[in-house]
Amino acid sequence: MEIKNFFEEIRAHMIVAIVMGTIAFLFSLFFDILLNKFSISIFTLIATSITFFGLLIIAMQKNLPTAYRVAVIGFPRSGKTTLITALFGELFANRLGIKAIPRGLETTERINANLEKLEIGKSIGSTTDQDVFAYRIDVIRGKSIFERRYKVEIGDFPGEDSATFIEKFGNWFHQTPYFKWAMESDAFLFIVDLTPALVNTKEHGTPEEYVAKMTSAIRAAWQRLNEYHYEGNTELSQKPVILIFTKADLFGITSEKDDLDETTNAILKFGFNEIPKPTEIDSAKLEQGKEKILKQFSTLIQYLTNQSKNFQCVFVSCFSYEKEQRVGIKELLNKMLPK
Amino acid sequence: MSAESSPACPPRHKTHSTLAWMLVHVIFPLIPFVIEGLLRCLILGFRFDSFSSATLSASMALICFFIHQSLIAHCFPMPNDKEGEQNVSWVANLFSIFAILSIVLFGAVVLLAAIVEQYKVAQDALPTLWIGTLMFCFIPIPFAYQAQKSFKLHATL
Repeated sequence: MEIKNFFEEIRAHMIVAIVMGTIAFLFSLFFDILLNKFSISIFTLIATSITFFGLLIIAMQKNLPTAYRVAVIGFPRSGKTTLITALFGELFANRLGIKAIPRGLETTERINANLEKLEIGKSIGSTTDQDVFAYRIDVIRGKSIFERRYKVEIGDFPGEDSATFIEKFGNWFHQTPYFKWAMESDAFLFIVDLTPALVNTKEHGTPEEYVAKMTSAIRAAWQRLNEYHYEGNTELSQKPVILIFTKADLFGITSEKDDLDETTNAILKFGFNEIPKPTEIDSAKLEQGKEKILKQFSTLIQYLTNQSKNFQCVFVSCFSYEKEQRVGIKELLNKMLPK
Repeated sequence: MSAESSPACPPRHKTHSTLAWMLVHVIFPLIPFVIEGLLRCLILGFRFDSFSSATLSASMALICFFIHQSLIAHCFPMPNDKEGEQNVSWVANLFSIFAILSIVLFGAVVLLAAIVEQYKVAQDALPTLWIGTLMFCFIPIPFAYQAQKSFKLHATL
């Protein structure tokens, strides 16, 4: 939106307002409803102003949409960028009935490039410092005069930085603009990779160690957020906080395999470098897996439930389908986007 | 060591709360207008001209100037937000235009009031100008509210 276009719009509104004012003036003269010239001039002025003011508010809503930030926070290689790409892929496909328009050439180009990689089975790769990026999309809610336009920004940070966000707290933190951006977000997505919760990994150790580490890290991040929002904890507690368990397609592997080593290898293979083929996931296996993970993370879930009035858990898979829809993507979009 | 990084002098917390921003940039500059109007109402009784349109337009000029300053000082943490930067710049220009118009309106109201007082002419024009000022002042306030919501402008309270 450029100032020139905006003034052109204002000029059009002024013409409409002047026409309305003239009609009001002629109406008051013709029907002789007002007593004197002063009353007529006031009546005309008010009619013109109300029309102009109303049209201006509509133009303003359209050109200055309300900002809505979504912070995606998680450890490296937890699937943040892949998840964002899948979310945009669903929005682009317009299967969810959400009116959304991508904002800016950079977002469209990057999403399309990432979608292309996923479609041919290539990994998107890790986000580097140079890749810090806000994906932008306009979401329209409501209809006709009750229409509200939101400028949604989904911040994608390098996993290493997100890990620092969770683990370290120092004075330097206030000076880092990206973290400040995350702090002032309207929705928080904490990403938990399911791989280390199912099998031993070099990076995170046993599943028990991983669960303890994630619980402590996310709790600390929430405490940090509370500290930052000291002026309005009530507001923070009402913002959507979503604990997202990514790579839910791994549940299919665990239940199918009998041999423990083979299962472990299969799960580890689909960690970060290999993309699983899109398949329909068995609902029973998915439910079984969800139940197990919810038990494992019960301490963290209990903590966030007590802290936030708008906390939810979502299991997602960017590749597997359940009832012809990507696992958890629609649910996640409905929960994270402005209502 | 800069004052901002000194542990003895921690950085002031800037809030992006809409209420705080509206208080600092809109409500506070309107206080002289409200106080003047209320005091005149107390002494003279409630009348159409108890609230001064000159004070209102001067307050509006201040409001628009403060908002303009808040907009031009706003920084975007994300590197790929060229569109946001452009938008902030045109909204800031818009508020500077509002500020200039408010000052012109202030001058017109004061001049007309002086002419009416001295020469006893065009007495009907004063209330019309008052209503015009009031109508004009309704425009920047919702604009300011929407600008804060759109850019998440900060205020120190």
